[in-house]
Amino acid sequence: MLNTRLKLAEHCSKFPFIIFYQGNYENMPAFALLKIIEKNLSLFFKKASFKPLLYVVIEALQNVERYSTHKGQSGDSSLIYMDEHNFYIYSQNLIENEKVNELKNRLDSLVNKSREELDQKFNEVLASEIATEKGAGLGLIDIARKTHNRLFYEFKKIDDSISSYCLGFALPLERNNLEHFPNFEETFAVVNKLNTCFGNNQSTLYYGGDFSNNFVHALLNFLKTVKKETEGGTNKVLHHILIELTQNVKKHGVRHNEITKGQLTLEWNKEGLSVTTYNEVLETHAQKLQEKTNKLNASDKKALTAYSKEVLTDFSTDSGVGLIDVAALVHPEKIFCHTIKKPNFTNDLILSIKIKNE
Amino acid sequence: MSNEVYEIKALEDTPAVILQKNKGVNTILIKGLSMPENALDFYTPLSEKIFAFFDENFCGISMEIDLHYMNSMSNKQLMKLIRGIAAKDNALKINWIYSPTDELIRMKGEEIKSIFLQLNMSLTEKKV
Repeated sequence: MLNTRLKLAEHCSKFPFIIFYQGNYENMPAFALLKIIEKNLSLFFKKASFKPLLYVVIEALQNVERYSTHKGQSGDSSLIYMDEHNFYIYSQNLIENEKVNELKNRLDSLVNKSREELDQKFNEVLASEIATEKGAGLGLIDIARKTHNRLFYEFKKIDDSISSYCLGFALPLERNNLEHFPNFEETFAVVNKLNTCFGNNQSTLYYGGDFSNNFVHALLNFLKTVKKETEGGTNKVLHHILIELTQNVKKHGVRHNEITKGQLTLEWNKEGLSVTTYNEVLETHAQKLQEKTNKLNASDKKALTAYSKEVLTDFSTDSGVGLIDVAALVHPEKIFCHTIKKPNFTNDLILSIKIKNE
Repeated sequence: MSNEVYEIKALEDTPAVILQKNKGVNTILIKGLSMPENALDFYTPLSEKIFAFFDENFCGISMEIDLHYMNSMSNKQLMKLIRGIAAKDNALKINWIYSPTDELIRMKGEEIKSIFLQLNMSLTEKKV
């Protein structure tokens, strides 16, 4: 399992930003996910230029919230990421079979239309008195317009009552620059890798991007607004563990162009929650960290308390007790630490902890 | 001696701080949330300000710490701050305030109290 996770992490590390959420969309995660996306995009673009991107993200996510059957929470997911030229959005949800034809017909009617034709259709629907179930049917037309029809969709029957519906599309990062056609083959590859790694989870949040406090606040907001108490939504212990692990990525991670990148995965299952971080660190730091986690894993609670006091009262350094706190809070579970040597005196570092359900 | 107040407003990652000198009563209030990416950037200038503000009145300071969250770097810097003040004011009193549902903050207060055994430090549970 570690190898498939590593392959996913290595594959996705080339994207400046990626977020994947699979779970119960009845809890309306759209705006909380949008906050995370917005914080990242603001590192690369001025707000005015990425507003159109946020608009179609909200359309796609709210489509899942509104139209999914919500019958199997692991069947609903969304993936948003960017490469050097395009911004990609992919959503997948379960849909009742009786709704497939109508939706397919709407999508079929949009494909191959020019921008002018789509604008005309948009205005017609806007002016008409016909409204679809949860809106005026404008969302899909608008997505087709803004993406210059660079989209794909698929329906797969699951059983007599439900099908799986996926919709993928891309916008150029530079408005109206259509020079670089989106690489949807890459989208399929990423979706397959994500499903291989996380398909059996109850819920997964997978994120790759900046690890500044802007992200940390957006992540905590996501937990508080989307996740129930039983899933750690308002659990201060979980929040503290997440803050320490993510701030460690920022503190110790290698910086590229003023940004410290990393990846974070939260996986909810019936046993509990797993939290994993992946990032690049200097080789010397990786070695120290491996030694430290070995020491923490070998310690009982009394030893961890003593170790914490020792570090807190060592005023010759500014070292904190973040990882000691994490070890104490997850005890008797251990901290998994794995490092992979890279050629340029850096290591890839994976840290993972499990928080069991009480 | 007139009432003098110095205030640092709370920001997204750092707590509010109020320093007050009033007729021989000297107080420090630290309240809110403390999770800056680099705690030194907040606590080093705070420490300098505290020493400059109280200056010749560095005696009998009462410190009230009411944090609903503190990251580990803030924990260390707060320890340094308390140690620095206690070294100059052996009458320092600390009141560590915590919410009844906040086990983490209560534990952090107990840890600090167990480290600074010579300090006059109390833990107070907020009434809900």
